Amino acid sequence: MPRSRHGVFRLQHAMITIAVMALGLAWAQAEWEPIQSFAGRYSDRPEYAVWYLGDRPLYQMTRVAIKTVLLVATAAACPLMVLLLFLARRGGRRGRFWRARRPGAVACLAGSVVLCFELVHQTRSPMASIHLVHVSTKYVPGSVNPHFESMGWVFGPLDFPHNSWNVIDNPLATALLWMPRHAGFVVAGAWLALVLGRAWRLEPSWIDRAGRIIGVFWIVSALHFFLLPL
Amino acid sequence: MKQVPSPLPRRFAATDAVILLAALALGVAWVSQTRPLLVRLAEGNYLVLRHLIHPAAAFFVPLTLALLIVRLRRPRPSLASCFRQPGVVACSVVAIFLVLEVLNHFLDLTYRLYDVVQLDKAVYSYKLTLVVMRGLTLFDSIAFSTGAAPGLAAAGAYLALWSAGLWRTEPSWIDRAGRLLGWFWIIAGVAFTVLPPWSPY
Repeated sequence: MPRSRHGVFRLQHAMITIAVMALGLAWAQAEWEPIQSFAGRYSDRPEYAVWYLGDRPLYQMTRVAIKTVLLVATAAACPLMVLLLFLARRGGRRGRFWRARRPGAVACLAGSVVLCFELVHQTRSPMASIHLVHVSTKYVPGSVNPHFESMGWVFGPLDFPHNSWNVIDNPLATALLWMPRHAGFVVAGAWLALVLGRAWRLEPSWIDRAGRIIGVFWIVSALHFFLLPL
Repeated sequence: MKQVPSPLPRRFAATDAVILLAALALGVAWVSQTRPLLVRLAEGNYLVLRHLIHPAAAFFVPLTLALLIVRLRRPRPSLASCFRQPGVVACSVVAIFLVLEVLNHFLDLTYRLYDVVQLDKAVYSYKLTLVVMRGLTLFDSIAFSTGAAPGLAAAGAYLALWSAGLWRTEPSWIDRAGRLLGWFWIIAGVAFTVLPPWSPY
């Protein structure tokens, strides 16, 4: 496939890419406390201001590290994905629809739809935007992990003698927490449709490659939370 | 949306009826078999819609697979044409994610749990209880977990077909049924996503 002009990586592309990634990292920094809470570090409560490592410290530390990296990467990927979708609006060969047969563009389109959905849903539904991170202070022998996280609608006081909850009620934070769980399934479905319909058209441009990398990231993140949710 | 006439008009054959009836029977049996789990899930739950979606998802799993089998039986258009029909694509994508769910069950990777909001009338407040799911059968496991992932994937598939200009509907009962099932899975996926209180993850 001939290389089109829009696929050339230019200085302004580098500048704007760095700018949007900085925006994403600023988002991660603003939501650093919820990210850490979700990942398993209970730093916002003095009584739990240590990592609960249980009897498997290496496992716990790895889990916290993986979840933190996934969420920070999510924050960086979201604005980058929207930028790539904007840049991919031109290019392609056969008019308006053809461009979206590129898997990178399709991944960015699917991810952007999910991002819009999450932001609207979490912002407009205050009950849904409450994310609970369950902190167990009672070690259960044989349990895989004493850390539960949950999302729920809570209308009253939570009464547990041995438990407490970190409540994350910031819509931007909860959107960030849910994005890597949902976007991967939508991207995977979109890519499967392209493959099954024999419409998978790779484009040798940095935009499509970056879009594909982001798509793979969403799928890996979703599988991580699907198969290893805790 | 483009509508292409099928080169081989497919009538509703007796074999199709047998396959679909078997799938319906399996769906009913599935819902009956997982009823204890579904009742357990419904305890204390105040969202009626969610009560309906879990059994409906379990009921439509065999029908989705059966419709895919019926579509792929001959006579049929070429596979490339088949897989540009939204009904077939939706059923295929849902089937792939159901396989993933089965693998997940057998590998036993997911530490299943759900939370139930219960009304404590004595103090007039809701309590949220975490219950760990242990010892689920395969059917229980799938009935418990179906919803978000297949539905979101079906939504992604429809989005890709639409945006890539690949949406080729066929004026046949198979594609119409497949499209309806696809929309059901999408609605179920969105419902599982936006309706707490228990999370299948």
